[in-house]
This record gives sequence, C-alpha cells and structure tokens, in this order.
Amino acid sequence: MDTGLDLLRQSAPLLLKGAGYTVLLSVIGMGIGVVLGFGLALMRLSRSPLLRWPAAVYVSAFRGTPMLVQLFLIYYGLPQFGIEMPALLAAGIGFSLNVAAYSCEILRSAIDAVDKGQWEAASVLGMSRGQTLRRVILPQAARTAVAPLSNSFIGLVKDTSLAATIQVPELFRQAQLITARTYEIFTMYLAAAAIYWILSTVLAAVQSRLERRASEGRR
Amino acid sequence: MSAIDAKGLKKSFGDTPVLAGVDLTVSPGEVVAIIGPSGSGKSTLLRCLAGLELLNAGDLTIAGVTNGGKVPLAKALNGRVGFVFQSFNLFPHKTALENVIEGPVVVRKEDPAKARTRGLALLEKVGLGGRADAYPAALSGGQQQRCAIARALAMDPEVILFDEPTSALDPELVGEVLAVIRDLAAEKRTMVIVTHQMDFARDVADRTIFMDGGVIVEQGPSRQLLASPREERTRKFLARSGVLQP
Repeated sequence: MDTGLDLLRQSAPLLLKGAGYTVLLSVIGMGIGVVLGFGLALMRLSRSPLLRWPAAVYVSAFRGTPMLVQLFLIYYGLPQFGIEMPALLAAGIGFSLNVAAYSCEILRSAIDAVDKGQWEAASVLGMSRGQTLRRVILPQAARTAVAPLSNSFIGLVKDTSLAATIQVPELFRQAQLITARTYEIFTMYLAAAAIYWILSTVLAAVQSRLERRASEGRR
Repeated sequence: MSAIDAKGLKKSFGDTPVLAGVDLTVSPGEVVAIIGPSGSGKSTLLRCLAGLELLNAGDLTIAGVTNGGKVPLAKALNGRVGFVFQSFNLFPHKTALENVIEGPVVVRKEDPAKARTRGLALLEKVGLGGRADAYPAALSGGQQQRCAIARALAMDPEVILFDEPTSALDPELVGEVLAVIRDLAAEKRTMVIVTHQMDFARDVADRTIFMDGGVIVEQGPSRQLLASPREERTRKFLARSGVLQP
C-alpha cells in the first residue's frame, strides 16, 4: 500500500500535466465545435438547398462514423496527401469537427423549438430575419441548448482519452506510460478515472448554475 | 384614401381553399369587426392583411403599401400595421417595457431614452404603469395582452389588426382587454377585429362582417347586421351564438 501511495505522489505531476492537456483539448474542441456547429445550424435552417444540403451531409458523416476513425484519418491518413501536423493539432481539429456535428443538431432543434409566434411577433414589428434571430430567437434557444450542450461537453472531456491513440500526452496517455514503467496498473488507471470524474463533476456543477442563470425571471 | 383596399384575395393551404375571393375596404378611423364560425377564413384574412401569409391571388394595399405578391408583406410594412395575437406572443426574455420599445429602437432606430419615456406612457395608457419591469411570465393573461397592445401602439400603426384578442383569456380577464380596445376605438384608430364577442362587436365596431366558407357572406352597420341579418347563413350563425332567437 505504501508503494502505491508513493507512486501516486511521484506520478501526480505527470497525471496533472496530462489532465491539463485533457482540459485544453476539451475547451478547444468545444469552443471551436460550437462556433462551427452554430454556422452549420444556420445553414440547415436556411431557405437555400445549396446551404442546407452540405450541412446535412456533414452532420450525417461526422455523427455516423466513430471519433476514433476520424482521428486516425486526420493524423495517420492525411500525411499520405502531404498534410502533416502535430498530434495535438490533429486531435484539436478532430474533436472540433466532431463536436460541430453534434452541436449543430442541438442548436438547430433549440432554434426550431422556439414558438413560431415569436417569429411572427417580430415580423409584424418590421424586424428582419437577422434581427429576429439575434434579438428574439437565439436568447430563447440558448436556454434550451444549455443542458444538451453541457452534456456534450462532459462527454467530450471523457472522449479526449481517444487522443491517447495518436500519442497526445493527455491524462489517459500519461496513465498508460506510467503503467508501462511501473506495472501498477489498477492504481494508475483508477487515479486517471478519479481525475476524469472530478473534471466532469465540476462541469456538471457549472452546467446547473448556467441553467439556473438562464431561467432567471422567465417562463 | 382607404386604409385597407383589398380585391379578390385568395389563399389556400395545399388543396384546401381558405379565402375564396375576398374584397375588403376599410376607411381611416373605421372600426370593423369580423365574425364567423371557426374555419371560415377570418383569421387567415387578417394574417394576409398583416403580411404574415402569402396571398395566392388578389390585390392588396394596406397602410399605403401594395402587395408585391412574391414575398409576405410584413417587412415592407415596417410596423405600420399593428397585429395583436390571440396568444399574445410577447418576448418572454424581455420585460414589459423592453417588449414595447423593441420595435421603435431596433426597427425605427429611435433613441432608446426617448423610446423608454414613450413606452412607459403607453404602458400607463393600457393600465400597466406599475409593471414596466415585469417579465411576461409574471403577468396575467389580460396584462400580457394589454402589454402586447402597447407594443403594437409603440410603432404608431396606421391600422391595428386584432386576431381574437380575448379568446385565450379567462372570462374574468376579458373585460380589461376589451376596455383598452374600446378606448382605442374612441380615439378613432383604424382597427379590424376578429372576435367571438358579439356584444363587443355591436358596441364598438362601426361595421361588422360575417364570413363563412372563405367569403364575406354579409356586412353592414354592426347593430343592423347583428339584429336583423339578411342572409340565412348569418341568421343561423347568430342563432347558434345566442345573439338571435332561433
């Protein structure tokens, strides 16, 4: 038992460094993914099929294939065409593109869920489509989207462990490396699991605060 | 010039014709009530007038704007035709005052401070002086509808259209909303009101129109139409509504 605790103490800096990468990848993936997803959602809601179709195909492709395969295509596949990049960048791109597909659907359905009467009320005031979206629809859609987006974020934090397969030194990869050296398999993976759990718990707490803020003073 | 001049308005949803050729002229300052059974096309007529629906055929000029035909008219009207919805449709994330000044500030680019002063006066006028900072969720149905009327008034509309403004209200809240509309009628505002409140139509509207099956069956001075209709269909409807003895 003593050796287990000692080992944990020695490996803590490495694990925390790995956790740093985990948080970094999660934040980048979510941040860029939601922005891209919002653009895709607007395309899917557009009147023009030229915008609707590509977005629909994109969402279908990125939701319909495993994230692991997407990461391999980007990191191991693209170099065949002369496109090489560091593992961290490849992972960041992979997660962003994947999150974009899911958040597109979350945002689209949140926008769709706003009562049609809201569009009409804005329209009889003479507001344009853009003004209506910005000032009337999105503030209400955002409330609906907070919970499922937070869910995606918590899911992403755990999915970043897939980046270990393309050598990104994130939390799970660090645990793997330490395990290979010390053979303390159970202890190290348990420690990694505990850190993932803590990260998710903190995020869940932030989510419920956001949800409470979003519903203040409203229906 | 007429406030509303409509000729041969036609509208169908899919294969179902809803307006089968409606002519309607409304003079400035006139208050017109539209009555009729549900499904008669009265709400659709109102929504076409407001530019919320695309017409299939017909010529429409309202508040000086002529229907181009291709796109719904609402944006071109720029708020000059007010619309009060059955379900209020207030913006739930904005306070009563913010709802009222949204159009003037965003569409008309009015100075926000001036819009607020004017908005507060309008809320006062509809009896919501003390509730300017309340969110719609904290208001009763009657208060929400009065706020929605203030929101329409804030755009200085040349015509105000009311689509069954009291149908979603509890019976004890109907009176307060009708009282506000009555005040507007006294100011000689041009209004078209789709309603099931026959007493209200009789007391407030200069003219009442009876619609059925997508056409105007009969129209005339409210008292006359409601007391002694010429058409059998009108008579039957008024009997069913308890206005006439069967």
